[in-house]
Amino acid sequence: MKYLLNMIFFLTVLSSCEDLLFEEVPTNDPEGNFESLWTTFQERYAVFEARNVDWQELFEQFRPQVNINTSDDELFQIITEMLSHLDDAHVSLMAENKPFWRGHQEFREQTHNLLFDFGVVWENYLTQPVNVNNQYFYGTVANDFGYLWINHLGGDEPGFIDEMIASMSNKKGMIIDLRHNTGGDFTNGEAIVSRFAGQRSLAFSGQPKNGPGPADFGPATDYFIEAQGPAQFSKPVIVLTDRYTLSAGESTLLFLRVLPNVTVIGEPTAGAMGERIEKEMPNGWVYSITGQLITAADGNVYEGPGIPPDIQASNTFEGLADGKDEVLELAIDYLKE
Amino acid sequence: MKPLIFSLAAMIILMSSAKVWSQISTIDQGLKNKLQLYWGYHLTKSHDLIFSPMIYSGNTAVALSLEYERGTPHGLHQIRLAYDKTNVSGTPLISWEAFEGTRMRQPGEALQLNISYAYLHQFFSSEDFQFYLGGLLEARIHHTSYYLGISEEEGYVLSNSLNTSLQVDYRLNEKNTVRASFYIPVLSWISRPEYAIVDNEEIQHEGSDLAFVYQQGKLASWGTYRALNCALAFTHSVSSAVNLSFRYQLDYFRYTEPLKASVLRNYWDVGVGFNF
Repeated sequence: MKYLLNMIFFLTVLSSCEDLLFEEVPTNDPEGNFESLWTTFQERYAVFEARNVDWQELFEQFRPQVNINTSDDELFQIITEMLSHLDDAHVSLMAENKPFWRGHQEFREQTHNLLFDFGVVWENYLTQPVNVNNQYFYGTVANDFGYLWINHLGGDEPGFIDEMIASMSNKKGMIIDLRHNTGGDFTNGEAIVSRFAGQRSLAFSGQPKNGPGPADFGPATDYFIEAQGPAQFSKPVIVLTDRYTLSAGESTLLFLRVLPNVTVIGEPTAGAMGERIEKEMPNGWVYSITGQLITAADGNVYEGPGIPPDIQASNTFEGLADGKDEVLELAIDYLKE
Repeated sequence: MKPLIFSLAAMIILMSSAKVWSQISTIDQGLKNKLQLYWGYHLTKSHDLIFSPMIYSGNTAVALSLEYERGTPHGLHQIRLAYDKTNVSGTPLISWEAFEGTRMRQPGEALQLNISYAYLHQFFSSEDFQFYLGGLLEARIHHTSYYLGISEEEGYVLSNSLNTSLQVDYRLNEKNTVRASFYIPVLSWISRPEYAIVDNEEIQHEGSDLAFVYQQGKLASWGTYRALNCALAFTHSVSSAVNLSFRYQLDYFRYTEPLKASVLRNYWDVGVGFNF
């Protein structure tokens, strides 16, 4: 019995030797927390070049501001100031008892947020409206054209899509509104676009960042769009975008813009389409990074400046005050022509 | 594809050998079967650098294992099915102000499932000691859900391993025995995500079936996949048909591709066994 107890003791001691069995972990102090975040960005953030940011230079600027006595409030201030140089809507920071911090200036300050109001569309333009889970809204505009606003792409597959396509079969054109699309699951966008697609076409490719060097990327995965479902809508399609079209909303736009019957009207998108990945610091704060470089089918990287429309157009506060969505009206005029 | 075929072939050969041993050994002998059910307290520590720089730890009493052993004159066949589920965390679970109100981080969830088959050949026997050496095939799923901020990320290490195994049984007296066992992998097939959530996205895109996950695996030898399982069990016979056991088990693995993932588990189990 003595040998048995000795063996158990030995194995328990062996198993408690963390240094032998695990990699070193960053320390939970201001310096350890700052460096943990900075290093993860250096190794995993995929779009420094696209956003024209020198991360090492930012380290040299901000690291000296952190020392062992830096308070949580000061650390939060230093980190958010450093991250704001990325101006990336996929970058965020969640810190103890602080508001959710967003890395994109427009999303923080929301100076143009009120330039789109779906209430105006719903009340003044849309007939026979259908609301699918407060996520998808469709109906008819100007008698002859179908309209679909995709507010969010999360959750289950968009089961409504084939019923909607069937209801639009007599329409002369279609408007897909991606303004203020908050993202979600891009495969839901792919499912919707497949009902407007024909031949299989490359839409974009994605490469994950996997090391500290600027060229350390994993192999590219290509994403294609092709016809799916019982019927497709092959008449002219106008896609509306604004600077709040984000993430999976932008991936959906990348699927749409390779279709020959699609014209994009509006503003450049938010420019944050690489996969958002969350990471943590030793103190429990959570932050998010863009872990993937997306290259559109035309060979361009739109991370940062956003995906440009074919026809640039914006609403005005005056127009909205009069109950007018000028971008939607431009799309209707374009379809009528 | 070649490594997969090689790995499968090696496993099939081992299985076939074990079956032949079994047939030879049981021709004219009475069979001895044992069914053992264990329940226990398990401590888990895991460190997966793809998902977090921190070591996640947790403990659970949701831990069960069912084991069947068939004794033959020259060896033992053992089948084991084990499951446990643990809440794990590596940092303070902070709360922050989200759009819809205060939100709090949730602990991660680690789940492990093991299925193994072993054939152990007796190579030395005395009045009190039996020594066995053999091969063990093990399929292991170690899965962790990370709930960091507003999204969920799925980490996993799936392994199929051909192990070499050593076991020693020591009879303390008529009622009590001690068993020490030990195994390490020789060759393994390991599947794990290459890049945090991006890999999930690819799986989602291609179809999220288990077969796809396994196809993404790689052949691993001792250089990239190191594992160790050692156990020490004390068994008391209540009667010729029933026994009670206490077992301590240490289970560790470390895989280095593309970033290191290490998992250490300590088990303290009690069990009841039936001989028939």
